[in-house]
Amino acid sequence: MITSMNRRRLLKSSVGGALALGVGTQVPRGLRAAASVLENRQDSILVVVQLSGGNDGLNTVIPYTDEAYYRARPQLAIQKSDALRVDAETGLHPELSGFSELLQDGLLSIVQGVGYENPNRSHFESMDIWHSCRRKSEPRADGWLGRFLELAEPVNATRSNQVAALHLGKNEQPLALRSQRVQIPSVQSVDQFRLTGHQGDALREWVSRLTAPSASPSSAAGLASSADDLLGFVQSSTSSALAASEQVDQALQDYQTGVDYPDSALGKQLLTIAQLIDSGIQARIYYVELDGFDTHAQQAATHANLLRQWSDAVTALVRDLERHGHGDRVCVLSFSEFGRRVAENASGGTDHGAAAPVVLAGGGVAAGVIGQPPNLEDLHDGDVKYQVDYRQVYATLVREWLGGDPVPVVGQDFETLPLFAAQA
Amino acid sequence: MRHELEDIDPAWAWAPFGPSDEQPWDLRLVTHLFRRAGLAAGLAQVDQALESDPQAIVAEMVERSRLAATTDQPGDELSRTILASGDSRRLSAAWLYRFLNAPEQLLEKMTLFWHGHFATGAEKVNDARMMWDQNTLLRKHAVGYFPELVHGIARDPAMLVYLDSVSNRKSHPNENFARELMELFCLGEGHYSERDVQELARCFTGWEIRSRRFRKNRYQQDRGTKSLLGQSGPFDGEDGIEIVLRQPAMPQFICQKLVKFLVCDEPPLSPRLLAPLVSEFREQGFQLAPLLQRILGSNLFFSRHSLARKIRSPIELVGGLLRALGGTTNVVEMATGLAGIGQGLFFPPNVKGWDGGRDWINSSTLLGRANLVQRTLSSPKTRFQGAGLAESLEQQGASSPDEVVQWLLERLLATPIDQDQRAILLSELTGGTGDREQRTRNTLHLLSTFPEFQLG
Amino acid sequence: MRYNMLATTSATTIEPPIGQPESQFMISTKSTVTAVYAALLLLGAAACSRAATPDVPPSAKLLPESTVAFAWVDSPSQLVDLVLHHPLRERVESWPAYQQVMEADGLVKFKSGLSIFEAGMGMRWPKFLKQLTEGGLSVALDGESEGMVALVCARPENRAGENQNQAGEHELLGRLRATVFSLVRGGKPAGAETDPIATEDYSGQTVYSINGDTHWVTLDNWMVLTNKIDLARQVIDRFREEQAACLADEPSFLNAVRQRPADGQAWGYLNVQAVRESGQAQPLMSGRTENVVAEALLGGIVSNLQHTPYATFDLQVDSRGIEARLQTPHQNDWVGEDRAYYFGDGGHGTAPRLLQPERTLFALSTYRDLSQMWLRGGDLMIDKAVDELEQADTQLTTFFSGRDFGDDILSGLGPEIQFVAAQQDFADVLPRPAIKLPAFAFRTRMLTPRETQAEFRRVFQSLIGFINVVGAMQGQPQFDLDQQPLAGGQLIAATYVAAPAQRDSTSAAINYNFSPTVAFTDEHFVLSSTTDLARELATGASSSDIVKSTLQQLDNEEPANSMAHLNGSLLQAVLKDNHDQLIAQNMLENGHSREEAEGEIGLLMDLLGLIRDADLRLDADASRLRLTFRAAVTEMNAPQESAE
Repeated sequence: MITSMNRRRLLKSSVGGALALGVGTQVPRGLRAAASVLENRQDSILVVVQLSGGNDGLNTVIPYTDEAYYRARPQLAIQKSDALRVDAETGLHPELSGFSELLQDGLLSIVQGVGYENPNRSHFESMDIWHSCRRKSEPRADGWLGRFLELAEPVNATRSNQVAALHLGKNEQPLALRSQRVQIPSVQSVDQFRLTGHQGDALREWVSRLTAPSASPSSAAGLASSADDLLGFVQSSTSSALAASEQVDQALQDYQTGVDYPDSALGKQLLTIAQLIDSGIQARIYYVELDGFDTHAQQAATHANLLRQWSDAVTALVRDLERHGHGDRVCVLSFSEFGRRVAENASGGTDHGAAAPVVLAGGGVAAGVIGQPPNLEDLHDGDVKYQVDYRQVYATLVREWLGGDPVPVVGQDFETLPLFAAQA
Repeated sequence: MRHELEDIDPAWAWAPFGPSDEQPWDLRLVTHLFRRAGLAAGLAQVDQALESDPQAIVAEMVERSRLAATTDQPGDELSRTILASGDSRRLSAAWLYRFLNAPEQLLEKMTLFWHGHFATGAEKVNDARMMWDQNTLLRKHAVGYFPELVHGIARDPAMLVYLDSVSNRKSHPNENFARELMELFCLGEGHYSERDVQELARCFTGWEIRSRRFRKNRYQQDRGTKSLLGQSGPFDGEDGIEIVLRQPAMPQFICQKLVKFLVCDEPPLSPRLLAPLVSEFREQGFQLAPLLQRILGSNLFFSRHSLARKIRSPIELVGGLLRALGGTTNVVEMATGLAGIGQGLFFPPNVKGWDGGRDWINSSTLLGRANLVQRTLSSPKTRFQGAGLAESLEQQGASSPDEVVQWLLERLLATPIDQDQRAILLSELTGGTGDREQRTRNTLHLLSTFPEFQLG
Repeated sequence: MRYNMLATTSATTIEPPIGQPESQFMISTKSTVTAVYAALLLLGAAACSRAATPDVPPSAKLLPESTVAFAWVDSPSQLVDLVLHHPLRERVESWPAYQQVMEADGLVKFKSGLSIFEAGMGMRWPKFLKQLTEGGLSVALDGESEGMVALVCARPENRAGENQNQAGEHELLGRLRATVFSLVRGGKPAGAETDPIATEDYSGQTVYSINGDTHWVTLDNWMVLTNKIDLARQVIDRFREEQAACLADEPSFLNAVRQRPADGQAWGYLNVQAVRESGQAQPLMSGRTENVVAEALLGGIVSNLQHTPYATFDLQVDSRGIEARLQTPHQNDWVGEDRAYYFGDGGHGTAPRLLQPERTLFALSTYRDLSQMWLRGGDLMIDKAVDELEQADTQLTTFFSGRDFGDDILSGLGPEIQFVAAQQDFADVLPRPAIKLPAFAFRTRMLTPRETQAEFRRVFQSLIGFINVVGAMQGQPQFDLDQQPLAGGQLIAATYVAAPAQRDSTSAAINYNFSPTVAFTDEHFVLSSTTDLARELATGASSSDIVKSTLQQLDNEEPANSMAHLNGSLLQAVLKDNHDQLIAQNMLENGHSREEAEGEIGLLMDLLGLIRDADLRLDADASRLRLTFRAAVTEMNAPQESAE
């Protein structure tokens, strides 16, 4: 998995004075350290796109040979001729042209029928289940990603002053990211990673002095002085924060995407994520939301334009990351709290359902469709039955992609799914 | 550092401090006292304090806070008006306004301490009035009688809603509050067993919140015998609390936490060093006022083990800056800004409250701190004594660039900076961009990005 | 405007340039006083409407034909006179806030600057202003040089027989120039630095340049100030040769001048065609927006601006108030089919009369075919907004129990839309909310009353049920539904059931402002935030005399496309109802002490007390589109409650 691009980037950032970002005692010194870090998958990144409201899975990944689908949805079904063909029995909604191309280029993976036992049809409850991996009767103090981040940062390690994960958006921070120990910032713009306001010469001078390797004794000596010393601690944290700010600034100034991100909130957020990843910020997890999937009425047009927003933005991100040499270390996971009922309702919409496909995109995924199209003759109370437990997807991501032990994260041991191309 | 602290004579540590030639009663000690016992000294307070002596000042601030706790204060009216909106975020701003303007700074500081100690989050409680009622309870007992505060909090609707303890039936005793009462509120881990949690939970059966009010449901009360922390009997909730409060671990736990809050972040003080304080707390019958007076007037408090040995919390950072300079600003925006860097009043991160110390700092919060100071300084709503910063400093006798820098350093920093840093501040003040007011504000912003500024 | 210019001049010249705090960070009372003055300038009045026939303003002959915008004040000194001698002045001067401001630092400095200036000129400023601007003040924007120019025409001197081009400089203008220049040169020792004032000779005229960016020319009794030297030269050219093409020769300008009202104090002209062709204001001219509300309010005007050659502005001030009009030539066929919703078929759509329940704070009536607008959304908005509309349609359709919002709900309603807001009387009401909001209502005609009534009644009931279910989860009080017969209709009211603890509260939650109600009469549908207002509107109960008297005047006018009315004293009253809240908000948001907050809110109340009411109307006929704004000051004899 170590591409030459990756290696170059890492070399550059650890040798070329920009040490800064990982500063402190945790910076791997020298090449060897850098290489070992890579082998431990310490640089892989997960971007989560949450489709809130319950995305209609059946009109996203279309079982276009299934008569039952057309019987259940006389108004809403996507016609075989309109669906973008994936294989002999599966197609994509016509607005998902970006995804269709990603699939052809080996950059997209679809997991059919993801859900869980005894599905809950409340938005809040089902979303909490996906976030925490816990049912209502159990305490939900933290989320699955929060637990992963805690494991990734051992209790006894010298405190890292890096941001472990980022939530972009105005909403409340998702439960998935909640942790007892690791604080995750919710940001609305990348400005929160830059020192704003007056950027006078004095400040610049001081920043460069503080971050220079041979700084004057009183301040930069703190970098090396005892970790017990509060001032030393604040000095080293300040120097890495300011260096990170400079680095983000620089990265944003230089950033050329060359890819057209859609002019939507999601498009802007994903562009920001691409810029942050490229700047070298070491966050492992990024989290964004796209709301509006609760299509009880007049679904067709609304669902089409939500799918377009989602597909166009994610496709732009994947293409952009490829161009910047990060394609192989970023995986984009898209999920929704549930799918929708198989039968359409009388208002030209669909109501809350159960299992639905999950989509992964990025350079590392094993492209294609995992699992069978939903069996519409064998439903559970009018809903698609689940084939894959959502925790199995998480467990695979933790073990194979992020490099961690999935058991404490999802609560039990699951067999991994063949989601990634080059699995050890 | 640690072994040095351990060498200190406990009796000396808590004995009343008297100024000496090595530790004269000067600006450095005055600002230290007011920073710890509040946000910062107001402009007029500094000169007054220099004329007085530390023991008298501490005695007066404790006594005035004790009196103010039981009378209606101007801030109450503001909060009641804001409650009409039912919005906890505006309530957060109302408390911040009160904090910035309160003459009894120690009372607000201690109310904040108890808010972090008995952490309750408005997001979950989702009822501004309950949050306000809890705040009133905390303030009423903030420098009062600790057992009364605990009894109050045990029947506080916001607390019980926050801990999912609105009902507690005898068939299913709710262990949540019982556990936190021992682990977080009174004793600390290791001073009770799981069995004690279960038994204490039985004592609280029948305690519930209905229509936002506390009540006892006698039909749900478990009247059986409980054996709790080595005692047994048909205890009810009040009995349970009394048993917990009488544990020897209690004064130790409370003193330790108070010392961390008021004296130094680290290292934790050894039981040996704390011992005189703990016995004083016990002898005073768990009254908080004498304990606070002892801590704030002690040799240890005015020693180098305390000076600049704390990382400023966000509210101490920005609020302290405003108070020290006689500044006012849009507190709604400031409250939001503080929440953004980890200290939303009424919005603690979890049931443990704010850990403080090094936990305040990471790359994101450090930039957030600098950016919040920048936003505050560039807001047109931010005024200093009703005027510009440069003009206000001039009124304080700081006109030349040297005087301005000196003034800012003396009032705002707990620890000195080196000559290079000082030179950078001066060059910003004299050669930076913008007019004089702008340059003065930029200099202040620059100062706030120095690591030394994070220490209080 | 003159006033402000003087203020800046003296401020920059009198203060020692170095070592003084220059910037003033937000001293809101100061800006408030500026607002008071601006308001007085506008409101101030003296009965000197001169009945002259509209003429081409003489300054138009000096301006190049490429002038894009032109504004002319006939007699600025009259306006100032009105302010200085208006009966309201005494009242304003008695306000504590006013006195505080007059003693404020900035103003004291300004006053001392003014006296230095007066000393230099040898006369008091009102007299000076009168002489300086007797021939009018014009301001213009030139499209070619992109420069601004101000032309002041002073009282001509009695120097008969002299050749104007050769004559010595106009005495007053010469003195003004000398005074200003000496102030600009300030306390600087002569020769210490380069002179801030440079001179250039152009066609025998001296152009003075101050700091290189302000150019000053005196042409007989004209004073010309501009920021572009080219523009100064253009004016000189036209002063010398009357044949040169000038603004006064422009056909569209002449058309505009012909319609200039004879009695206006200020008049303006904008060459819309030139703006369009220059490519400026592209987003506006493209005519597609992302904002639905903006489209509903302004869509028709945008259609007009895409075609119309020019727009004019005129202002009339008298002792009772001001009237301002914005007009453009108009043709019905400029409005595309997609905006037929705005003007109606053939442009005949007219608003119904303004609703006038008791204590009417604000009323709006308009002609808008919302159903058509909703369906045409795709043509009117940009793609992103259309996507959002589609999503909104899905949400609303869910809300309306599966009835399509655009097709089924809006299409049942006629294009006559009435909106009204009225102060609520809580005197005898418990629980009484701490925050007291006005009641508001929406009324429209039902096209098919029988079907629509049944449909809406059901939708309203399920909506209230839905709110109750969601509210119960969030601990909100519950609604009780009630149906009452009305003469010729029916009323369905939802009332909050007060929790026992809230029943007698005088600081109850904001919910208790609302008792959402729908009412149906023969052909009208009313949706109101309170039952009382719904009943009043449905039964046509009497309205108070005060409101009626002002509204009747409106009713007597010709029908318009849209009309709005705001009552100043009721706005003041509604704010007074929430006095404590305003104070608290001011304290928090400005960091003010309670005393400061009370001062600022008091001033706001005083200012509102000056305005009796304000009206806005938009009318369109076959040849023009006109937007009229009127504001009336309170009459001096009317009893005034003073804000405390």
